[in-house]
Amino acid sequence: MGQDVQLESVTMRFGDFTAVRDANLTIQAGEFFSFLGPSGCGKTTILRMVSGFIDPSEGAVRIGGADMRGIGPNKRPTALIFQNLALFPLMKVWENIAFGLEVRGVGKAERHKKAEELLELIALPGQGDKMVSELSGGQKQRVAIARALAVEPQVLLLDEPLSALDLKLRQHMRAELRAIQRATGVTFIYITHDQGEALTMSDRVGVMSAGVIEQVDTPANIYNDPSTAFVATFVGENNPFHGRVVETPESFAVIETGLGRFRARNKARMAVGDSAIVFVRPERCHLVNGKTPDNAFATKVDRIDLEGAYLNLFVKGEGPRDLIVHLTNDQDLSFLSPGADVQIGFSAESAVALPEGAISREQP
Amino acid sequence: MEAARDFLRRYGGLMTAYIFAGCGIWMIGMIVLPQLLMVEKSLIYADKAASAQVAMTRGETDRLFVEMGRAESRIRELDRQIESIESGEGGEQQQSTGSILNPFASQSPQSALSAEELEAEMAALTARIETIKQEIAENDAALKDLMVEAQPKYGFANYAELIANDLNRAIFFKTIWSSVMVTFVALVVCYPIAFYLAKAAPSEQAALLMLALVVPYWVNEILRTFAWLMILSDGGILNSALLWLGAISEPIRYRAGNAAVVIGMVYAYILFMVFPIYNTIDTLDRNQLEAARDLGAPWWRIHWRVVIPHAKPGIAVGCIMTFMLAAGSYAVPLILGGTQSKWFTEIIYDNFYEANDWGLGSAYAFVLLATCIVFILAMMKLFRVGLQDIAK
Repeated sequence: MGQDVQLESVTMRFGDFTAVRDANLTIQAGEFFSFLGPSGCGKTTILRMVSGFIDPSEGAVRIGGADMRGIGPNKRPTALIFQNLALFPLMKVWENIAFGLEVRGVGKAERHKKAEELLELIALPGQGDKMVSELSGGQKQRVAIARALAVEPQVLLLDEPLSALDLKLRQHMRAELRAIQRATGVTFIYITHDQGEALTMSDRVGVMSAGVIEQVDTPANIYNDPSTAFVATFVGENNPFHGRVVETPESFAVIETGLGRFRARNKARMAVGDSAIVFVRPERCHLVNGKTPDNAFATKVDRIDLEGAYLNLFVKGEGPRDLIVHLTNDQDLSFLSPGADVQIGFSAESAVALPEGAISREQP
Repeated sequence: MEAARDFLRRYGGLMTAYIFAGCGIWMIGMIVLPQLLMVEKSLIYADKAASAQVAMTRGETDRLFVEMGRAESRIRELDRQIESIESGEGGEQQQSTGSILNPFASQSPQSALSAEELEAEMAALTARIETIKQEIAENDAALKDLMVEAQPKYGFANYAELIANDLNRAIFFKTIWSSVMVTFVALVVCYPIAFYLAKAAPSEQAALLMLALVVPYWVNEILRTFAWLMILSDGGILNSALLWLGAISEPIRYRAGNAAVVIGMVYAYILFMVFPIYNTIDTLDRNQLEAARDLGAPWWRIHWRVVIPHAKPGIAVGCIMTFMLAAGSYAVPLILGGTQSKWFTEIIYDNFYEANDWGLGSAYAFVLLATCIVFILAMMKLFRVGLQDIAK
């Protein structure tokens, strides 16, 4: 069974550069936790601090309640799976898997037996005598997992291990990783810049930007209820409307934007006069026909991309960037053509108003 | 043929001709032919005893010719004296002049000898000349046989000489053993340096260390070795320092044994060991080291199981180069060696240029070459590396 991992006011500096700033977080024992963020956001630094390759400049990393400062990676109850897997190419598959046991002085016969068991677990029975180079990408991936699990870690750390695989294999491995995590009960800490991976596999996700943990929540909440402008824009697509709060009725806020007054959930409890952005997902927007929605604005069609089951409707927004509306292809949409006048509406419930802040440039 | 055509298509006529000519000259002209010539020379030997006999006989003949010349001139003088006695005038004057001209005359008393005595001497000399002529003819006949015997012949006598020569054989084995020692010490010294350079050092430090390693190579080998002579000689820097510190009571004679030569060579060839190892370790993925550490391996096991297996081709190349250079070194043992640490290359040199025996020198050189090739094959076997690994 896994152990919990606590970050207490953890800050990591490299010279003048602060890679991680005041991170506070408890990852539960047996949890599948993902750190999601763009490259350079500090997620790998957190991983290296937990695995023991570096110690934080300030604060403490605790595993199972024990402060890990000064304890090297070879003495921690963690195992790390590297982005490039870092299998030992000059050892056979079973020797790779049993390397951690060899280090611990386990006899050869027992090592061999244990490696066979793990090969069974990762669905590669009898492949132990192959060289690593004879395996496919997905098989190498599984061997790396087996090698890490062989030392029976309390916490398994995974540094974007699926990024080298093709899409199909990646999706397959997601399910497999989840299954292995459930079967072993080990705490998984998963690093990724791929939101699909983070959202599908994780119990909870921590979204990071520029060394700061912006939000820690379940995948559903991260997507539906982002708490910062960065999270709203980094995870999934979102249409932003910049403006100023003019009213705060109950749990909502009314924001005056360039396209009109919009009503949205006021999660951040902003006051009248604050700068704010209203975010609404493309799939929550629709064409106005008949009954008036909470929010609506008139605009022109810029371009239409048909994806098949649905289409992306790009309409003019306030700025140079188009707003996106996802429409399901279950109605006659032939009247939509570039330059056509349209009315776009969305409900107050589906929109969220957040304080003005950094937004992700990495729009998918 | 297909390969050649493909080559031509890829590089064009001029480039192909250049590459083929270059490879041909290199392989045949600079490697195969000289080696074959050397092997041929090593198989040619002359019968030393016969040669000595030839020289002795020739000397003897020369000596006989000289004696004969002197006898003949004495006869001419005696002839004149007899004539003057018979004519009865100017005898004394003639004699005094003759005594200066002819050393044989000094043996004769100043007083005038009788014509009979002179004639008797002349008869004896004439008889002697006859014997000399006969001896010369005998010598010439003997020389003819001896010359045939002393003619250079094909055979393994030059190699047999090395086996039979206790001193040179001992020096040969000592050279090989010492070269192995040099290689081993260089490996022990260089592996940590190479690892530090490739994986541990921050980049500025690595650059600085690299410079420190390369700079001594800007000084030529002789001067570098002289520097060690100054350090290691009996009254040198090291002994002075140790004496001053009181660590030793009398100078250590490093140059008496092999120590100075081994130290000098390790220093002289350090780069040839560092760079091949550095190059292979440099290609090792740093994540491999971290993965091994993360799995709990202590540093020595990381080296034993991950770094050294990866660096094997580099270690093999470094060992081969260092061994070859050490076994073939001439300057370092010449400068740093004492009487006890003569190197096999010095023996080869002496054979070529002191004894002027190219056959023997070639045989010795070929034995050294063959031993080095055996060493290379043994290293490749030991490290389980193929030629293509080394070529990398």
